[in-house]
Amino acid sequence: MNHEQYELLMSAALDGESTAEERRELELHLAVCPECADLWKRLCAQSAALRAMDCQLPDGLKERIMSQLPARKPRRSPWKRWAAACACLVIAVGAVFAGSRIWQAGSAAPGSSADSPAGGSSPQAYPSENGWEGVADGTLKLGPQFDQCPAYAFSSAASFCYRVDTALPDSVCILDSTESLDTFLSQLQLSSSSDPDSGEDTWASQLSQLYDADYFSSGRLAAIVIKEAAGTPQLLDLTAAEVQVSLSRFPEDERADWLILATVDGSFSAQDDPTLTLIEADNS
Amino acid sequence: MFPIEEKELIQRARQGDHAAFEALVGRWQKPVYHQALRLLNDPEDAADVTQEVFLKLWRALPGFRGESSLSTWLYRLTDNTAIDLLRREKKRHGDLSLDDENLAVCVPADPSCSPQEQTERREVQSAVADALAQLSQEHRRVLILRELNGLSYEEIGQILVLNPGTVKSRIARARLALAKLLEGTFSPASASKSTKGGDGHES
Repeated sequence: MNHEQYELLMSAALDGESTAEERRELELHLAVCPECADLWKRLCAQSAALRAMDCQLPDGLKERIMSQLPARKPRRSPWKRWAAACACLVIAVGAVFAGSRIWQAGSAAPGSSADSPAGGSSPQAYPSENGWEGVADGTLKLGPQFDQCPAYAFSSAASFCYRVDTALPDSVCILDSTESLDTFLSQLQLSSSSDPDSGEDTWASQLSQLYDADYFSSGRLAAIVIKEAAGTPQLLDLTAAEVQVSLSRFPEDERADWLILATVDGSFSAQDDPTLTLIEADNS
Repeated sequence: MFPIEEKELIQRARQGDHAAFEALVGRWQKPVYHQALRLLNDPEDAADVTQEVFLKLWRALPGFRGESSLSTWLYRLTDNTAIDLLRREKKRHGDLSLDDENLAVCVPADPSCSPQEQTERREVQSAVADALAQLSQEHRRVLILRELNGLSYEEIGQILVLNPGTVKSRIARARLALAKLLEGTFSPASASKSTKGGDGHES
């Protein structure tokens, strides 16, 4: 072992992540190498100091936090109703999607085209309750990964990502009217009208209000339903610079994990093997 | 706080119980704030991030399935939110106002230590905090998750999207980088043990 390997071993030993044999080997080496023995002492002291670090909590922080919470109750996840997806839905949706136009997101990142509204929208432009996150600046951007959160959104000029718990095949389809949006949402068993229980707007009805006739007079949506690929849970992690989803690879009986609505322009073109590239917004 | 009690708080908070949520905030605001503070080196930003983290928690609670612990979830949220802020504001690491009182480390009074030992301890803590602030973002993140938040290599790997082996080597490199910055702070020469003769005098 060279010194570098012993250094790695020291670090692992500090965290209790070394085997008994490795520890023994380290101890033997420390007994005969003053340099490493010195480093070991310093690393131990350093680690102890880090673990003992403390800070001063600002006054009134808890009050600040509590005062900003929305007054009404957090929305019960609407997706629970569809947690048990039914096979007939898959067939129905599959049939509908087969009939829709399938587009490829071309090399132009969706939403980055010139005719997207200039200047990113601020997060406040989007509904901020029910787990929505507004993150905007004109290119499709991915929101933070909350694997426990059933619903959150990211937005570019007019796009959202919302986790769904429904079995759906991967697909991309173009929506260019309120009717097509309603049809699409109903396939996910999302009602566009208000929640009869609470009278509050469902996520779907909020979407319908946002993408209304005015929007469709000049815009189109790409509705993208994708799944988290096995082995790549970081699919939509903010830290990923680029996410590529090859839609054709996923078996039909897997659950969809993401519904993304993205404003698209005419640069979309049909391809036999649709792929989707979601590129993190450039912050420079 | 006992885990059982916390589960109950979460359950109640999910249903909109503000008091239950406030109890969770009381329990977790300091670890979250501290993590943000050491990542951002700015108390105002850290407070903003803390606020944002708990707002996100409030909104996301209905979907919390309890499969991972609340702490891991919070630390991941904090890391994400802080890094997001850094990215948006393009703060460079090391952009640290050393005069800022709020960044001074707290060293709890320890009656068993002499005032001199207290001072030395505070100086050491201060040096460590400064050095941590100067580390690269990647090194700082991983070291904070390990040493401040006490997460395992596996948990850290999940948050940073790295496999545990990469976490292991990155932590080692972070420690070495920190040690380099702290050369002289822990050196035996600064301690009383000296082979040069004479008794160990407090300097």
